[in-house]
Amino acid sequence: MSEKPIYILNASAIIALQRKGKLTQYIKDKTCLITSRVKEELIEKPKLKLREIKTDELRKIVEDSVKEIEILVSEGKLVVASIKYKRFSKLLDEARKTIAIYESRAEHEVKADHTIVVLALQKALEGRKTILVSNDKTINKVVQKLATSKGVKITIKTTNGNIT
Amino acid sequence: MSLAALTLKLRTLANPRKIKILVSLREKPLSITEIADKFSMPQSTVRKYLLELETGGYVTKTPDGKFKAKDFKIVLSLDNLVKLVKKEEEQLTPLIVKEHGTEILRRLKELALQVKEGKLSIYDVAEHLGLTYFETYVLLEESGLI
Repeated sequence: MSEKPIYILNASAIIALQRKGKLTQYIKDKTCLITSRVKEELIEKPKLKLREIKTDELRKIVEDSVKEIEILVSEGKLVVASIKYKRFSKLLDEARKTIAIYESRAEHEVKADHTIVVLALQKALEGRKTILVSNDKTINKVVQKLATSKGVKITIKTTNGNIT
Repeated sequence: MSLAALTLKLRTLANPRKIKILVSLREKPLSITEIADKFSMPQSTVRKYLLELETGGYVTKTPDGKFKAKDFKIVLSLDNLVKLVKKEEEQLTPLIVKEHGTEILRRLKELALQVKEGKLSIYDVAEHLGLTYFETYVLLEESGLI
């Protein structure tokens, strides 16, 4: 029997699937990991902003989005995975550096989630069949580049189809 | 594609001269001067047409400054228009604009090309616009930038 792949979901993929009403169905029977940054962006930060949203309908939609993701996390269907920081500290630097190059900016100005890049690489380097689901082109380009340079295979999928 | 994007696309092509230029750019990339010569048109008009065609997503610039046609397919049918209008009604962009003002769309447009080319992450756009990731993703998706 072939090994079950690990799915790593970027924030963009979660929102896209959620908007199509397919998030719960998509992650069913899969091992799906997210980073703590994804949790922060999709649960913690919007929760803090909810009270500021004046448009009732929008507030309700954002609130529903947060709730659904929160439940999936609490049920362990979306697992917040941690990076092995000591082992992969160089890779974290490299990921941030590569994003900075793609975005033509200084490393300290990088806002993109470089930890998701490293999480995908970490799983692939550990010999796991890894699939990154992301609609963020910058992240996808960086993962593709670093996976090639490390000699590992990471399948990158968008919510509309495969990239590699 | 949004209703606004479709109307822009159709409006951009509503000119036989632009269609002829576009068709000629499918054969081989041409510069503004070459197009102006070929169609006996002032360079300023050609430049204006090419800018409109580029904005409409019909042509793209080559590294040597010429223009080439991009392939596209628009199926115009009543069924498709019904789907498009329905999709438009389900869009969240009007709510986000109501919340943050129309200025948000202008600022998003400024960042559009960088996002499309993968030179700017969604996190950056969210930070830049002061929006949640959710709102930013929705705006980008509904504007056809993702």
